[in-house]
Amino acid sequence: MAKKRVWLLCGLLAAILTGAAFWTQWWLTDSPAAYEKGTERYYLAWVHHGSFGQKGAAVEALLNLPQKKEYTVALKVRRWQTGVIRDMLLLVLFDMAPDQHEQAVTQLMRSEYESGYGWVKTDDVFEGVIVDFYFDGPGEAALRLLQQGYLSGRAVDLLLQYARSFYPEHRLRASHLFEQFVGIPPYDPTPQPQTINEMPELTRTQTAAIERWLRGNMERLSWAKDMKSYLYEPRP
Amino acid sequence: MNLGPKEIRKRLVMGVVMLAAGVGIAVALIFAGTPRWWRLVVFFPFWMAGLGLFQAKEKT
Repeated sequence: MAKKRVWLLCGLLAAILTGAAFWTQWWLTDSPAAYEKGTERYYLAWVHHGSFGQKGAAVEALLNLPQKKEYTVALKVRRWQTGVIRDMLLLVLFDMAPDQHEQAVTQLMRSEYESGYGWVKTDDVFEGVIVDFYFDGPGEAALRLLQQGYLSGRAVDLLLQYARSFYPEHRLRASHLFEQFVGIPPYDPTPQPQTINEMPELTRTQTAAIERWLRGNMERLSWAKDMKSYLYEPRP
Repeated sequence: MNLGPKEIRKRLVMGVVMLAAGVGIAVALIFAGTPRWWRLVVFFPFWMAGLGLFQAKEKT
């Protein structure tokens, strides 16, 4: 009788503890800045609310880990991920250790997703507004490479596209990226087009000048690693 | 059949070790971001832990 009770009790204990492990989420303090549009956290918040569920939550938790552990954990977590999450994690790793992941990110930049692959959510309410979420892996890879000194035609195209975008967060991002180019013509991201097809005159003239400068000087731009900037080297 | 002090101690140690192992595995699985269903494997160490601890307590 006592033996039966012991078996029942340990089964119950094991079930309770297993249940606790099964339902546990790793909660860490969320920084409001982490949700800034354009950051991985922002994208991942979308993924979390979208169809990736548990996977999204796992990567979300990863981004909150203490800095020194982040890289090794990111490497491990990436092994279990697929698709968009895997690519997002690659870009996170690239930001932490550019030299080690440059090849993989370049490969991602050159890859082409199947049509519609990057779409996660459309016309859904998030943070109180109706928005679409789109993760463009190759484009994002091109911009991350540009940020780390690997300039490409694709990155320049995307940068100009962002600078002319209807969306303020795209223009702001382009503005930040332009700051890495020493001597580039000025750019003001504030003029807001009234419609998606309209472009303010100031944006038109400024981006035309920037495009001329970038295309004309691309061969003569060198990366200064310590300054994280592109320097213009005039012809000898 | 009642257990002697040596056997009780053996079961107590086994219970504690298995409990620690279960918690360790669960934490590792949560941190590694493995699919949630993998966490069910901790049932076995927790069950063993329960067996050791309750047998030691009941001396049976």
